[in-house]
Formats: sequence, C-alpha cells, structure tokens
Amino acid sequence: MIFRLKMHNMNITEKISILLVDDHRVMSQGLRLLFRREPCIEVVNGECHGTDAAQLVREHEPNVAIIDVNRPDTDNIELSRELLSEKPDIKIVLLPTQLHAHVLEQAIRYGVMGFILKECNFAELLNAVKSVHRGNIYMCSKIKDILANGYLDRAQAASMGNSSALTEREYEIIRYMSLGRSSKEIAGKLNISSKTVDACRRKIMTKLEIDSVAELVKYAIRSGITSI
Amino acid sequence: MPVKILIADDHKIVREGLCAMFEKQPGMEIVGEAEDGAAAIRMARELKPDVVILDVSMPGMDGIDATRRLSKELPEMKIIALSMYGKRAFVTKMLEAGASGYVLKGGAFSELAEAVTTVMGGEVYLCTSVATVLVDEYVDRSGSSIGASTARLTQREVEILKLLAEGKSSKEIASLLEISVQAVDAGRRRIMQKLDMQSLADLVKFAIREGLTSIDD
Repeated sequence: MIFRLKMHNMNITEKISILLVDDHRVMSQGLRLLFRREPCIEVVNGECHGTDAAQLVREHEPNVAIIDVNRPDTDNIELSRELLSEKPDIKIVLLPTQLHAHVLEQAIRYGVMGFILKECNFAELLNAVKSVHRGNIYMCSKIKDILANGYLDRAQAASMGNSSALTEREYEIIRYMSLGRSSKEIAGKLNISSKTVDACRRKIMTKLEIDSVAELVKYAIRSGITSI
Repeated sequence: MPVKILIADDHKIVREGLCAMFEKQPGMEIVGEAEDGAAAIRMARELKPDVVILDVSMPGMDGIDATRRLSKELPEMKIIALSMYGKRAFVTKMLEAGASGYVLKGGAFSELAEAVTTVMGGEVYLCTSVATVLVDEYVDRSGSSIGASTARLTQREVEILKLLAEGKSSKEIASLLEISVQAVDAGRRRIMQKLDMQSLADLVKFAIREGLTSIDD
C-alpha cells in the first residue's frame, strides 16, 4: 500500500512526454535537441509529419503534442481534433508563423491549449508545454493581441449594426472557393442551394472589399485558410 | 580554424534550433544570429563570417535582397539560402542574387552541414529536392515531360495568366492586351489545359508560386 502511494507520488514529478509533429526536418531536429537538454521533458517519437500522428498518440500516449506542419492552419486544427478524439486529455500546442483571428478562435473552440508564434524563443515554448500540461491555456503575447483584436473588430462591427465580420459559413465558402470548387459543388457540400452560395459569395466580396476570385484566393492564403 | 557562420532567420525558435545543431557540429561555429536582412548585412560587415545562412522570406529586406547586397559588398563570403519553398522562382532568384547553396527547411540538418562544407570548397550546393526541381524544369523545357511550369506557356499566355491572377476580368484583359474577349477566354482555356488545372483558384496559386503575382493586397 505504502509502495503504491510512493509510486503515485513519483508520477507527479514524472517527465512530460511530448509528441513532436513537424515536417521541417531541420527545425524538428533542432527542437528535439533543445528538448533533450530539459530533464523534465521526453520526446516520445522519431520523425512525424502529421499523417501518422494519431497512430503515434495511440502508441505512446504523450501528455502534449506540438504541431508545426507547413500547410494551412485549418488543416493543423483538424489534426488537433483528431488527436483529441484519440486521447481527450492530450494537450495541444500549435507553433505557427502567423495565425488569423478566425482560425485562432476555431482552435480554441476545438480545445487547442497552447499557441506560440515561431518568432518566440525556446524558453517560451517550454513554458507553454509546462503550462498546458498543468491544464492552463498558454498564448504568447502576439497571439493574445490577435485574439483581442479579433474580438474588438467583431464588437465594433456589431455595435455599428453593419457587421463586416465574416461568419463561419462564409469562411467555409472561402475555403472551398480557394480550393477551386464551383458554386454548385459548394452547394452540394454544404447542403444549400447554388443561389445561396452565390449570394454568400457576393456578401463575402462586399465585406472584404474585393471584387475578384483571384483576390479572394490571395486573402485565403494570407489568412491561413488555404495553402499555396 | 572552425568555419564561422552567421544565421539570419526571422523566427527565434528556428535560430535557437539551428544553433543547438551547429554546436554539435565539429569544425563549424555560429558567430551571430540576425532576425532580418538588414541585421544580417550589419552583422556580416562586423563579424566577417565565412558563411551566411539566410532565410529566403523574411519581413522587411528579404533574403533575396540581402543576398544581392551581401554578395556585392563581401564577395568572398558564401551565402546559403534556407527556405520552406523549393520553387523554381525562389531558387533561381537566390542563385542569381549570389547565393551558392540552397537547402530546404524540410531537409535534414546533415544537408545544411554538407552545404556549408561544399560552398566553403568553392562549389555550389543544392539539396536533393531542389536539384530535382531544376532538373525537372530542364527536362520540361526540352519538351519530353509534362508538368506545371511557365516554360510551357507562350509569352501571351503568361501575360494573360499574370493579369488573371491580379484579379482582372476577361474584358479588362482584352482591352489591356488589345485583343478580343474571345481570344482571352481561349487563352485561359489553353493555359488551364497546358498546366492541367481546373480552376481559377489553381491558376492564382500557380502564379504566386512562379512569382508572377504578389500575395499582398
């Protein structure tokens, strides 16, 4: 009995196990090396580019997953969801170069807990890992700004009665459009009429003050909704 | 004497990772870290490194500009581009600007170390995937392979593509190029066919990759 209690106490000071999902090999090798110097951290996996992440979570049951994959942020959020459904108590940290307010809010809703921009230093990433492991949300200061500004933009638009903020559905339509889908295809995917899709398209263009599909695609790339 | 290396990348975490890797690399030493192109030039003047490893896309003065200036001012110094993208447009621009190595961030660190050794020996180093892109391009130009490249388009088609990617309508393009709207639409269909693309969105992304249009608003 006493022995078991002791074991339990040891568990508390056990290492934090990390799954590192990173398709920039130079970057992941560097991060791995930096984490290896930390006595409280253990990276459980070898190379992982994303596709086998769920499998690795099943195998190693890591406490924290750090996701840094070079593709649209929305795809990385999908991956976060997948990992969370695999292991609901896993803590996810995203490590993007930039993050659009809309994508950030979506990630928070899905249960991502850590957000560190790559311009931050390793010490901050380490803090984030420890913090999310304790069950807290961690955002670097720029991410907090993005969140606050996104919120203020919406509040301001709402108070002016003329919202220029995009809705969830409009973001979805932008994503499909930037993948080259036609109104008809989008209508099928979203179970709405082509007419509704076209009306949404016009509304999106007005809200973003742009007048061509080309500009819309560029907007989607800049916002992390689609990739080049 | 170890090879003195200056690193320029706008992401602190990337620089720290690189420093950690180079610390373990015998015969190489990081002498400085710059966070953008302007800082890279300032530090290169001061520290006189043997090699500068430059991120291609940095805010402010980007890697291409910085390379151009560095290779002019300090021609002895070797420059290695470190990039997320292996697209032809980036590689060509960096090499033209004076870089003698091009390594992808998706490659292993050993490639970067090998690049340092190679350029110090006075040779050009291209990582495997970049070399493949350039070879494909070459094969493409000779017409024996299919693949998406502007080399397969006529000058007129490139003009149409560029304007489409800037958001111009067929009518606007017609008047800008002084051709008929039908000719623009036919050109557009031909471009899509040649590049094997199905949508305007694909064309815009292709034009960005090829450096024909800018992603900014």
